[in-house]
Amino acid sequence: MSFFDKDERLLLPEWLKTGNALNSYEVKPFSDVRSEPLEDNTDMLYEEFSNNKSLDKAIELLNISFIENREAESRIAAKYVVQGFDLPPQILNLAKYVLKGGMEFDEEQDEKKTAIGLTRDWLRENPKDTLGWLDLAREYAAIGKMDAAEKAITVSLNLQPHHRLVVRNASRFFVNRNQNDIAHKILLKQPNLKEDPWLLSAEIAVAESYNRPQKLVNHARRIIDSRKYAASHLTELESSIATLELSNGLIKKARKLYVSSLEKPTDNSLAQAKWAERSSHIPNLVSSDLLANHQGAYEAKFWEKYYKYEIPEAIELGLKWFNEEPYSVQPAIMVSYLASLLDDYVLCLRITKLGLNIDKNNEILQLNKVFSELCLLTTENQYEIDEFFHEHEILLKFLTKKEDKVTVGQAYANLGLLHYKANQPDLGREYYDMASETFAKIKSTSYLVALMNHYRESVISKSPWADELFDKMSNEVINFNSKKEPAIIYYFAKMSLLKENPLRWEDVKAAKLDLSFLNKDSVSKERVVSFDYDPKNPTITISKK
Amino acid sequence: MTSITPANKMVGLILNDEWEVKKLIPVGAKTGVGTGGNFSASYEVENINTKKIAFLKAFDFEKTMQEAMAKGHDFMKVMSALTSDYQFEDRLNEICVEKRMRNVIKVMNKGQCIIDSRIVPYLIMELAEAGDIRMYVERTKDVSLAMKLGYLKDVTLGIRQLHSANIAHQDLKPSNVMVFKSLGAKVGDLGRASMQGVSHRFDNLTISGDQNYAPPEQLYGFIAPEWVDRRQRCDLYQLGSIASFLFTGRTVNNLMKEFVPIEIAPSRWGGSGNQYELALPYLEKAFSNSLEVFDGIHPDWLGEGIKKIVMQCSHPSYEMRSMHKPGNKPKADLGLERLVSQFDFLIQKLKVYGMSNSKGDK
Repeated sequence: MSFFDKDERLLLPEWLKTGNALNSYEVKPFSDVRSEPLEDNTDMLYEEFSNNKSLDKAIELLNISFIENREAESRIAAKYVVQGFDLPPQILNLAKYVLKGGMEFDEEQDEKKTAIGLTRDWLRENPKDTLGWLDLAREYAAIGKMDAAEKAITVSLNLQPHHRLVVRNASRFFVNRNQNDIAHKILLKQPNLKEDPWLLSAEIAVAESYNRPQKLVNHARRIIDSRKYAASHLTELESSIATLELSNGLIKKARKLYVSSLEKPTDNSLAQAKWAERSSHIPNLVSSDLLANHQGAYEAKFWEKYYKYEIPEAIELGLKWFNEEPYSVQPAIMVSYLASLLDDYVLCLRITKLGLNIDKNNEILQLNKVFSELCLLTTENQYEIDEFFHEHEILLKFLTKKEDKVTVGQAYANLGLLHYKANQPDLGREYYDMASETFAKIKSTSYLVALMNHYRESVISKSPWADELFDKMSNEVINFNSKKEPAIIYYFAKMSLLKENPLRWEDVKAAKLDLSFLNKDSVSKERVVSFDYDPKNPTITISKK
Repeated sequence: MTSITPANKMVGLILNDEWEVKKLIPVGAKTGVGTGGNFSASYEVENINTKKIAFLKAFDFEKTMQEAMAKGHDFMKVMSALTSDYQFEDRLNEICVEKRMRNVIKVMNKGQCIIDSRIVPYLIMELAEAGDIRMYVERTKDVSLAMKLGYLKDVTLGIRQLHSANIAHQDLKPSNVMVFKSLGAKVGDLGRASMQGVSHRFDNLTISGDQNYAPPEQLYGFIAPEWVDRRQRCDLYQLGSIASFLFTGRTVNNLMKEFVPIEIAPSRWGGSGNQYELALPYLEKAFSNSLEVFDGIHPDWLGEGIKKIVMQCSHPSYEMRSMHKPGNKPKADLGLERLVSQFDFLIQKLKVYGMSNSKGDK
């Protein structure tokens, strides 16, 4: 498991924008039975119109052929309609629209309606639009306005109290709000809870999220075994049960269910399987092909790229993941970590700010924000520097008093960084040591991160203990359990480069590292280490011998 | 090769010693296309004594049989269905006459004739000399907004008269609304109607009338358990669609189709959705989007009035279709008298304020 990972990942419903949810199986019916195919009426109307051309017939033909997707007949009717009659603009606009060749749903208009202001205006006029309220709630949740989001979600739930999408999204919202009991109640009062695998899956995840007894698990297993539902509708339920089996140590059973869940996966079940690969060493659950051919699934793809050491690509996918789940801080945290690996402090700052919009009290994001701000400090005005340091020092010292040792360690590390930046390397060194000690006590991989950051700052500040630190760091990286963690390997490679070029930090910082040789499927046999310090595109390439 | 069926050979015949068949009218080829509908032929007929012109609907049993046989259907079953359809429509027409439904097309005569040794039953009905309502979308000096509102009020009255006799029309569309110069508009063609408590084969069809005017629940194959919800609320949907058609030239289905995402749209619209309940929030959003076209109606207050009417009549959720105020105690009827009042009010307002926006706002 990556040290970035949470201990458990639950199959909580993914709260998509209602327009995007259309691509999910979640809004697809259980049965694929279609109503009896009907003959088009366009033929008959077109014949009548052709025999005796008149405006009334043209208008009817345009109406019907448009509904029946008969483009050619629509165009013929439209041409007649636009001949200069005094008609209502609505039918004339349709005729012009048809003649332009546009028969598709206008998504642009939908896109424009996503901003909160516009959605609110829209809802003022259309207060019964369930989807509008659902999207508004999501938009509010994305900026941390949770009370407003709750109001919006409550309205949508009242309008459609039993709609699968509404119910699942509402349950996700209340879990995010740490009101797991409310989320659970919403699910438990669904009349079709036992018959709907989507609701069952959500119920199991929500119950697990606050350690409630799992009363429907056996029923869920029976549902899966009955094969009454198509694979597309069972994917999340199977993945949910697989995760439970995993937590019970039943790896074989879990594997079987995960494999089955990937027959017709959702973004969520793919991400869950990727998590299972990382957390429980169930290898090769998700093939690269399956992932590549699946549209979306940014979380799963993010992790795949991360484990291939393709950090810039992983960041790109992380941003897409965040865009899909703007109500969740997890993608923001991940992107901020990876941005710091690239020493891209601008991105790190931007994403932490966005994440803090969702949850302003998130300590990891607060710490990563301080980290990037310290790294970006450019002013030479001593007063400003003092003010800046003072302000951050207060926050960081406050965080060192927290119970969570990872937070404490990170706060110490940031204090170390702060003092290095304040030209107080002795104090900086001391705080970094305190960070390392804190992490060492809990055997956290962050210990290595702290060492590497410390080494970087010691080199930049030209501190005499830099070489000593490098040796220590090298030993620890080799000995530490998490040596396969891509973030550690990646940054260690960068620090190794810094060791060789201690006066060229700016070049090292901007360099792209190609660690593709570390991938299992890498075909490269030759080991080449090359440094290209082209200021426009500095690159370091390390390939296998 | 298709031969001319007996029902299409009636020109020149004298029926019941009173009506002369004058000419074939090329409309009404088939009701409920694709849903097991019947063929008929339409004629203009003239009363020999009074010279009054009327409309004749001849039931084309021959063509219906031919098509059914070609599709391998059971002869006796088809025959029985045809007889039953004719008798049912005849009975409904009698009820309309008995109840003096002034806004429903009246059957003036009926009978049967033998052509090529085949029986052709027919109905003779009032003929709308001013055509059907499709001709009233264009804005000319002869077609005023007040006239349109008047016709909509007449159609509402017609539907209310049918509903008060527990009949649902099921196939209300522009071509089934006839316009008379002196009598206003009337609702015609009860060929797909349903009567509460009287079982008829069309009741088993998900889409009874023309599919292109069918309400969303029917397009998704959803059948509401209560007759009023299933049938009369379908009429209300189609009534709203007529209002939309008259003022914008576009039916509600046509407007909505533009906004319903293809992933959830009914197969009739080229989509892959097939569950009404799952699609409903998306349909509601599309409906709300499509209602914006009414903002383009001048004067503004009239646009708002028509929009409100369409919103109440043609809501994609059949449960929301009612003219009663939302939140009030549910009522057995759909409140069509309120709709009549709304049209009356708009007509009065038009007389007082004309096309002015500002005065209309007062």
